[in-house]
Amino acid sequence: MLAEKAGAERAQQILTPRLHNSLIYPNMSIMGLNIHVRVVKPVAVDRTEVTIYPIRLLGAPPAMNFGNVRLLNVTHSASSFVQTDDLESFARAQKGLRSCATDWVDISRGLGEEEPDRELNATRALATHEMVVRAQYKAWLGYMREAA
Amino acid sequence: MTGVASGAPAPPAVAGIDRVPFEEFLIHEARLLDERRFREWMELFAEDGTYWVPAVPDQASPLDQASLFYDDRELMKTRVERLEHPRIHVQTPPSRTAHLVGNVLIEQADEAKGEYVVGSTVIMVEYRDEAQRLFAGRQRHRLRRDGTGLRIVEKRVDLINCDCAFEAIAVPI
Repeated sequence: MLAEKAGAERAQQILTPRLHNSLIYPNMSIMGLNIHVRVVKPVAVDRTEVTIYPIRLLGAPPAMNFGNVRLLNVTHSASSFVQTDDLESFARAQKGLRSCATDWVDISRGLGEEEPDRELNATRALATHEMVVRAQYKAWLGYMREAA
Repeated sequence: MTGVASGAPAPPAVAGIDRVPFEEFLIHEARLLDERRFREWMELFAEDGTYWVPAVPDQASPLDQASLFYDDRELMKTRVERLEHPRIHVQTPPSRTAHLVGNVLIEQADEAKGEYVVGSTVIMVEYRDEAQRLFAGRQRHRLRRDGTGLRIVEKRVDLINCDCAFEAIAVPI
């Protein structure tokens, strides 16, 4: 169907996954892996509300849109198989931070191992490295300096 | 028969059908959940059975909008295997629950086909990790007679607070 519409070459290009997540500073992201928009709302120092908006692809077959909704039920609903364990680890980290046993939160994982991505004019790192967290704080520092 | 995909007001009860076996079925289901016998709970569902907890009031369909739960037997199996896993973080420590099912009405009955829609009110109190919370709402079971027993073809739970922000919900309601 896609090949008929777009031609074999373009169809192949579309179907070859080059997925990434886009973070719109400070609290919104567009997630490409299972298509949705995520908004993170800080409510209190120990409470954060995360809202997931599934995206309906116009013109896509209903089965594809249902597949996306079904996947989000499994990955990101309050009863999902993935997010529930994530929330549990956030809650435990929060509990640990309340002890005030350390003055710093370490976000140095992967520091110095970032690589330039010349094609995209960007910097890349492994998904498990904390480059994104460091970039967030760097941006925050920049905005705060501008405002001062 | 029109299924249970509607949060519309309950129709009047169907006359002339003994409510007791249906009430006993719902009590048995609640007990399996409270005793964490999730595999036996899953087996109450027909092979084509679904378990649905909408995320907005009067949600028309589970297909075009996210839900809190929308499991077919395949997903239910994964859910149950996860709940049985000894290192599932969100159930360490495990939830303890008490379900109360009441206000049971037989809303539709097709004796020839052996199909029934049973409406009820459910309250689940959950205690875990020093916190207690409450879930409440209307539920509708579409049931099919299977030999001498009943199987769930569709279970829909409309929580009164279904569209609020939730902390993790690890166990079925």
